[in-house]
Amino acid sequence: MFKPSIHLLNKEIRENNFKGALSIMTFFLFLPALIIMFWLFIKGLPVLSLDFLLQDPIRGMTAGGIFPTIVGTFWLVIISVLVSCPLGVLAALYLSEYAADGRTTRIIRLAILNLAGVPSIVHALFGLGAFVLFLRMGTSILAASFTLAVMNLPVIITSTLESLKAVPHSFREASWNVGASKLQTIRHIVLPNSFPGILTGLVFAVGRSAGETAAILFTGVAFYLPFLPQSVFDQCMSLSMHLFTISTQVVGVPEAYPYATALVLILLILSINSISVLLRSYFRTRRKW
Amino acid sequence: MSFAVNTNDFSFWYGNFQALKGLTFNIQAHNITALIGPSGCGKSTFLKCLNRINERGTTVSHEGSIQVFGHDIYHPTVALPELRRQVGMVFQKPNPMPLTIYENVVFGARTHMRKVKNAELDQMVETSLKRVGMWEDLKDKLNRPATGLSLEKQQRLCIARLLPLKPKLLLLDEPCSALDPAGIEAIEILIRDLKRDYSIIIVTHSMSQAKRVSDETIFMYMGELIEMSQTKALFETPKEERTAAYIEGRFG
Repeated sequence: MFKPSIHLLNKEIRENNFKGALSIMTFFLFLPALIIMFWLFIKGLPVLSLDFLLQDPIRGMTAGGIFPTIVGTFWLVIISVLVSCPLGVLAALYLSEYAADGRTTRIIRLAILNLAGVPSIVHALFGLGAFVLFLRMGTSILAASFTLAVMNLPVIITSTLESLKAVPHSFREASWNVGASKLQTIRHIVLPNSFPGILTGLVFAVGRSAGETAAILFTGVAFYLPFLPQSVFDQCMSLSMHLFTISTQVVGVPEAYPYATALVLILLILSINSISVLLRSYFRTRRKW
Repeated sequence: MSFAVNTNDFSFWYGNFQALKGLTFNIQAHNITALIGPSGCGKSTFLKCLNRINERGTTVSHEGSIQVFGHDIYHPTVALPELRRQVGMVFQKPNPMPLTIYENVVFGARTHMRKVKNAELDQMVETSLKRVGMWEDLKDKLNRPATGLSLEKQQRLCIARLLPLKPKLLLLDEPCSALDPAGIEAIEILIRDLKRDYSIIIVTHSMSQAKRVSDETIFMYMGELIEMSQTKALFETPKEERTAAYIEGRFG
């Protein structure tokens, strides 16, 4: 009674093999991240200091620090977020709450998906044509930020749409049913409940744009500038671009410099992403359903 | 005798699918009217037409007319929020909003009035919860999330949140199908008690429930009205063969 048959034993062996294969795959996924971080720390840590963060690069970028690149990245990220967040969230709200599910809506959704698949270098060329030349912004922080914003829009719209979809339809129905308008429903029911998800998506987009290089290449970032940007119409330096420059374009850079720069960039993005994880778990504990 | 609902040759389509076919009948005010019939017979569709909650996301069209307390609800000047304020619906699955118990009850009032005093809101909560028999139980828990209540209490709350809006007609779409027997009994007692102040239409799959709570019963089949009469008469001496077959459980 209750002894396993051969067939059942085989089944269990296959089950275990499958599970093992999956866990090995997952481990390999995790491994590169671990190795990259480890390597960067080993190679970059000796140079990393407060001076490195707060000094200008000197002697043809072969010595000194990376301060202007941090400033530049900061401005690029902030301005692009200010542009793309309202646009993206509002567009997603329209698509999710107002647009009838017709052919036009489907085409718009498809266009957004395609926009997400456009390579960043193509975004850069678009930004060069549209913002730098046509709108006469010149190569400037503004043009580069706008380009980053366009690149981030599909990501933000998609993640916002997902968060809005996660709010059960019955909540909306309940609200309409007592005669609330769509706007009232969005304000009191939909947004409060999708807010954590929307925020997470936004913060991830910020992290992505902090590391972006190609999109800002022709639109507002310089290899080297002897001064900090004075307004949004100036060019700036950026961490990602600087990393590219001192790794491949400049002779005589000490080996540790690119590693330290990469470490700063990665730590920046990691900390932005952990903020989003923290926010998410904070709001989840406060959720009422 | 005043009527809560008059329908005149009313037909309704979702896209190309005709869900209701030429319905003509009158539902009396201050009555409980039960809608019965097999799944897909159109009883829920008809209920949803009464506050026009089924017009979102799909293409719908209609012919004929429905009057609620003598007013055509498909007239172009009808404001849907106002219609829904006066014709409230309770859904099959209790759907309290993700807010506190207090905020659930006053949600409707807040959306309809520009400024309401806190004292008025407090009063609303007390009156409404008393009316559904939950005030004693909940008066110290008003700031707890409504979604933490038992299903039966959630359903009571869903009824309570309609009351501050002073509705004239209450639509109940299988309000007990998610509840256990004790919950069903409690809600049925509440429904019979609410009849004093409101006209009520209830869609139900349970024939015993229709017998227990309703004054009149409408039997629908394939989008058509088959028979409508006093509940007792319909169940004891059905005039139509299909009604008899359905209530004896021979189909549907």
